[in-house]
Amino acid sequence: MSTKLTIVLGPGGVGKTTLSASLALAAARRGEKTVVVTVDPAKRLAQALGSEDLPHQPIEVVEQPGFFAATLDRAKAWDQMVERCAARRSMPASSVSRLLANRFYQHLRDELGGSAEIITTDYLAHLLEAGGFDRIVLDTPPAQDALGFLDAPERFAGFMDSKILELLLGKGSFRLSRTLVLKVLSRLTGREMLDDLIDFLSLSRDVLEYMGDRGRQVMALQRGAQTEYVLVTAPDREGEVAAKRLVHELKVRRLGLSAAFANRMVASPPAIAWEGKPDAEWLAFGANRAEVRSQQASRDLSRLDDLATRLAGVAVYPIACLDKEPQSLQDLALLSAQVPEQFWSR
Amino acid sequence: MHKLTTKPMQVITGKGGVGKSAVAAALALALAEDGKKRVLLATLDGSDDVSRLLGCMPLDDTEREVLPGVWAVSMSGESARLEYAIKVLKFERMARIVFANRLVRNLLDFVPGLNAVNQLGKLFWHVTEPGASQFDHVVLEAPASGHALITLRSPTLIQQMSPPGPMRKETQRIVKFLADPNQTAVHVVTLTASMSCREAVQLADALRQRAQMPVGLLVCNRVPDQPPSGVIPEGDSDWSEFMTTEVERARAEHERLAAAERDSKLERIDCPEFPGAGRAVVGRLAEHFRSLR
Repeated sequence: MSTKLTIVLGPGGVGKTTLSASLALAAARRGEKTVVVTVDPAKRLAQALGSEDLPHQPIEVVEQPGFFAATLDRAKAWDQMVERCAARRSMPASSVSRLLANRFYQHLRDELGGSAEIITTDYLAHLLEAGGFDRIVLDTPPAQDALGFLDAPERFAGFMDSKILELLLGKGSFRLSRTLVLKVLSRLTGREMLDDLIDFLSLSRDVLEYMGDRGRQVMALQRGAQTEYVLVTAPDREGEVAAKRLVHELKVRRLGLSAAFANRMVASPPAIAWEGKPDAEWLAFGANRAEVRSQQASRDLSRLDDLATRLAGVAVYPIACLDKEPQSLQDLALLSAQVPEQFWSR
Repeated sequence: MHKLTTKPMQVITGKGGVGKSAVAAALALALAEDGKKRVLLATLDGSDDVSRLLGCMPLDDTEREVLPGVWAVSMSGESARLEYAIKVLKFERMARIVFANRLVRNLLDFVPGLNAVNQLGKLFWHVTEPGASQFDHVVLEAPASGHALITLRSPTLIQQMSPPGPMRKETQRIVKFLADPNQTAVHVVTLTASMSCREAVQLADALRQRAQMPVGLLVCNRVPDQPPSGVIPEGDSDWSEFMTTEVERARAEHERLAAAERDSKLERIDCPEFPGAGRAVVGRLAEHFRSLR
């Protein structure tokens, strides 16, 4: 059985996580065993599902059989990755604990840009190996347009050139002298930090090789026939520009977009129809809300058209904004009900 | 203008998508217009929402005037690093040779906090050192919450780790400047959405506790009018339903902002939702900033 993979891309702040969960819910309701994966310290998905603490493993959402969610905790996912690697490559336990305590490792884990993408890559490979799902919906980490995920596997693969270690240890032949490099670096960072770095590089060789393997695995997957790319964006100018750039970046990587969602479309207000004559404050408030919503609605509609033009050939589906913030499974259901049949029968 | 918005170093942060770049651009424009000052609008690590917003050419490492009195720059770690090494460590030839090496560059990108210190250091010189590249104010559009904390904490981290010498001395000066409430104010931008409010509160705490930064304002962006008190007057069914939703929504939004104000212990300013987009909104927001006291 081959698992379908839906990769959800889009700029930050457009409701990507919520819509990813809604797509997964819709797929589950169509009978596919589906898991939505998100990496997010704010645990947004957990909130959207009304559950504050989703465990690290995919768990089935009680009210909806076949619908699973996995919220990754970044630090824990890194440590798990190192442990998976240690098991595979029989690394000595002492090296593993030294690595976990190394400050460069901790930096990579906690703070380095792209760190979320790296563990997403590993987690995805892990989920696919474990099997059992008909579909995985991946909410990409909220980096710049989430493009980071597309490149993570490759960066992963060439992440730490083993040559760096050779240079620092004075092995191999380089045009630069090791003494000069060490001198400049230690003035910048201090000798202690440099020693820590060299220790990290020696300890993490196995992990980096493992990461390289994982990266290549996922790179192949990114181009696989079972993988589709879906864009979520806001129906505004920034969203449109982000969409254009994203499509371009996908094209550069010879990947194609399957569909786009214009999220949080505002509906036109009804005509103002007070019975009787309310006081001035209410009149003003009502008129203001009607005007704001009407402007937003017409702006959203014209942006939707622009977006469709921009994305010529790609279906763009509008998703109406809910009356309140989505917080429960019922709210997600309201969103997933808006995903049209054509999306699935492409 | 509000006194917290006139410190030399203005840092704007908040959750992704809350309008940090519009707020930063508007604040820069307000400062430039209000006092006929030279203002630098800066972003880090090559990020560039400003050009999208203003519809200008993409930003790069060179400061360019994008609004009257406002120059914008999108700094890369690499160029800031070379400048920093030359200026602070005074070994230009060696630095050029070593930094030209790809392996070394990859390695330096990996040293925790180094890029951030180089970039913050450059901004620090822009407001403190006389010369052609001096500005009266720097408005830094910092990265989104978590990443902003890491960036702002970097100088402290590097200061602790760097060996005695010019690098440590310079880093100490930067740390001192960023921690000085007379020089620096870090503003947290939020929308009325609950997740953005929650993140603003966490961020304000973390800025105080973990980064020891002088926090400034809670800038609430796109705030709807406050609905009148009392019962909604009767209307026809569609209209009544619409009004009920709008009133409930606006009240919930104002309650969330009040809670965020209380929990973050920040002084709050509300920016109304202006019609239009891009440059027009930046202009209206700038007027709004100028009118605040």
